[in-house]
Amino acid sequence: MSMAQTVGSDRSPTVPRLRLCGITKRFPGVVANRDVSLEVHGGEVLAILGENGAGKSTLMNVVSGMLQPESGSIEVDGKPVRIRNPADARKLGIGMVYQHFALVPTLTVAENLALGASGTRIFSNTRRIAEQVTGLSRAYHLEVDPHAVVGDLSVGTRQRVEIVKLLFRGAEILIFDEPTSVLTPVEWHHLVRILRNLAAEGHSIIFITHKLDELMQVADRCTVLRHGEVAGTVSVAATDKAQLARMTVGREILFQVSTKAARPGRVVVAAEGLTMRSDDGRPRLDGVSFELREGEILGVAGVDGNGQRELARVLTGLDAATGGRFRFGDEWRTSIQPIDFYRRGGAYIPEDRHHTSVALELSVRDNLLMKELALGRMQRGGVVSERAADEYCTTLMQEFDVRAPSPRVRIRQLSGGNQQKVVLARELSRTPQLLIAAQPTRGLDVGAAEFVMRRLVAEKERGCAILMISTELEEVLQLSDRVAVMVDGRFLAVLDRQDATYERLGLLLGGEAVDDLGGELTEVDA
Amino acid sequence: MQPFDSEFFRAAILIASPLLIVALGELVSESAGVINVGLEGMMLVGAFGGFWGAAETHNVWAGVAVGLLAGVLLAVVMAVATIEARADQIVVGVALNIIGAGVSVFAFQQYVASRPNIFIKRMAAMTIPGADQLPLLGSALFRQIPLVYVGFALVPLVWIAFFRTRWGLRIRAAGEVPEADETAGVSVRRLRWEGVLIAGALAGVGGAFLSIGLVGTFLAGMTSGRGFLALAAVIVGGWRPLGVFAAALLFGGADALQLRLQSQSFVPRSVWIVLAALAAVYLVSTLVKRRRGAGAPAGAPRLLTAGSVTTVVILLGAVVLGIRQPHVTLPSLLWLAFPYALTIAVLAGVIGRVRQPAALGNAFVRGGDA
Repeated sequence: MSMAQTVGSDRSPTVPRLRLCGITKRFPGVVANRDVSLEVHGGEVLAILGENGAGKSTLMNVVSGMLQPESGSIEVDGKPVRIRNPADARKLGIGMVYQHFALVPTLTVAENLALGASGTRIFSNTRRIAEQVTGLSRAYHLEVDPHAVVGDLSVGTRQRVEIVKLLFRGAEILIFDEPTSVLTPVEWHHLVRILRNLAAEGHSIIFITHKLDELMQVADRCTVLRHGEVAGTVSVAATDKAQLARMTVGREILFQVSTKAARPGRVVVAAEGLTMRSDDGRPRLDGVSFELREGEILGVAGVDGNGQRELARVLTGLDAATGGRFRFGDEWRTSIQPIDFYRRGGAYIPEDRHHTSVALELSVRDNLLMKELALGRMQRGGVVSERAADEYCTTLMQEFDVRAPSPRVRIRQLSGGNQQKVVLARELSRTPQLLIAAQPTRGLDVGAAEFVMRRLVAEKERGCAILMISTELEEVLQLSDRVAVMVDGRFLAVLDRQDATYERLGLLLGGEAVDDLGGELTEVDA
Repeated sequence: MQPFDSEFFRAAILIASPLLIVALGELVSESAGVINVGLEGMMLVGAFGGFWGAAETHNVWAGVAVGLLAGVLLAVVMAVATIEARADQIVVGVALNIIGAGVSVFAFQQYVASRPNIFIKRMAAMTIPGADQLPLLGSALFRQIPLVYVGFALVPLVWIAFFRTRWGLRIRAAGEVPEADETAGVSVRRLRWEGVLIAGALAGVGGAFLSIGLVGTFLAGMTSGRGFLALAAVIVGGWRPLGVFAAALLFGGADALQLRLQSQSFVPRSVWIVLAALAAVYLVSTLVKRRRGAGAPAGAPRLLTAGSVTTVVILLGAVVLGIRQPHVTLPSLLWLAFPYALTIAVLAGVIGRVRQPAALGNAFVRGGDA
């Protein structure tokens, strides 16, 4: 079986591989997609761009058979089809790589493929499947070992396993749902090359993203979704970031958040050899030392899962360090009670908005009040002072532009951007001395991200010390006065702003992988 | 070496078998992502069903079949509630326990009232001639009722199904990352139904084992917590068929031991020797494991963990008791609690070391909650 033969060569090139006509999908209370039409041809990479909540994922779940639309039709190769479940999608050659991969970590690569193998065999033939994996992997330069246990693989490799899986199942229309949020820059370049390869072989690629830079690098055309409707489809060669951003949010976006050079004051927080081991004895934090001063932003750049979460949790008192010490105020310590952290003027924007930052089922007001109440404010004799609380919430919601019908609605009903503004309002209302902001713009649309970044800069200029943890290099470079590169629980380097370039950070983050791919990287850039 | 004679081993295996059958069913269900706390209730209706079937037809195998169906019947309720209506699995399981206990007693009373002097013949032992004459384990392995052999046959069957068939891969995926099945076009709903029904069927058989195989009649609440022991056996066995097998044997052995010790005036020396040996084996095996796992840089293995200290204390205590041999006696009720106390102790030691299926207990919704 020749793996790399051009797919779909017998089909007419003018008929789109996949065409959606007037797709409408409603959920209780919201229209996720309204009259969405788009098409993708063989050999083409189509990007679908939109803010969070614009309906990109819903649309793709309709295409992959996970959801049923209320109206509209789908055509594959010009023939109308019904996709009632994922099995139908699979028969039509449609496959999707999910943001959180659909792989079983306890099984090997070959076993993961075997569980989806078609046919009536009872016993799984993993050996034959392993051979096919090796063949596909070679044909498309995917570098996947069929016998590796998925749980041991890096995120970048798991993504390639997903691609092998789809190819193995005969997918010719491949959908990627926000594939880059977990990749290092080097892995991203590798993925671009793979996607272009697949397109060159005749596959159709749909690439869902909210990142403009990425789609400019990989896509041929781009369909923009806004509030569940198509805002337009453009050829990438004939457009620029500014136009795409305008289409996504419906207004002008400034990409540069102006920030003055830092005038650092006294040291607010310092750490010496901070170490934390998890229960299995592996170091999550491995000797982190730094100083952070008033009026400066220290950016922590790194791929997810390299100890950033643990660093934030130790500094804010959610976990205790197992070695080293830190200081917030005058006293050196290995742990701090969270309430002390707040009393001393600490503020924290956790990375995980839905699990740590807010209580989804509570109202906007209760979420705003949480820490005030913990600190003993807004109450008399243990009873919440309704007047003071309402006034406080209304003022904050205005100041932070939280768009909600009333402070009493459940925060679950707000968009991600508005939820994050609530978090920001809650944390910044106490005019903190120290702010630890983890992934402050993750999952936000361009407009809300811009708002958050402006507020961070304003806080810095007021004199707040900010530790900003982010996986987005652009964001780190734009806001930070100094940049720490975090790999394997360590600060590999702490660079001054003028020394920190995108390329240099990228190399530091993915150091080892660069050598393997050296020759191929230039190919992508060319 | 009294009480560890061939009669002890025969009893241990006989007692372990229903546990094994029920626990293997639960293993399938949990691997598919549905935790079934209602095993006790399913066993009870299985026990009554088995009794009724055997009494009506005068055929023990017909009884086993009725017991199986009774378990399946409750499992259907479980599946509809948890898979279709996405109710909380624990809550439904608890409800099934109450229903099972009530229904089985009620039905038994009605039945006995209409048919006084009803009795059934216990399932007869099947001897494999020659082999049963082997010393110590001969009668334990080769002179048992056929249901015991069924239980033993299920172990390799489940193992092969789990690790060698596509269905097994899919079942395990349904409990880990159900999306992996769903995106492959395999219905998670269907796999979970299969898991729940298998658990119900085997719980029913396990219940019928008690009434038909062990006791020879139905008694109210005759499972006396065996459903929960089976639940524990799945955890202690680390969600692996062979582990579940070992756990069932451990619990069966503990139960057989307490039955013997109840009738003794004091605990014989051999019990203390076995206890000391078990503690020593455990200690050595953990030390070896630690040594092997100490490859991580600067990760000095900690020797003074709570577990190792407790084990050393038990080891020394057992040695001292073995030498002094005091006349320890306990009220029989405390002896009865022994297997359960052991279960708690083993669970405490095991939890945190074994990993449960990642999606266990979570309802699955296609397309997520987008």
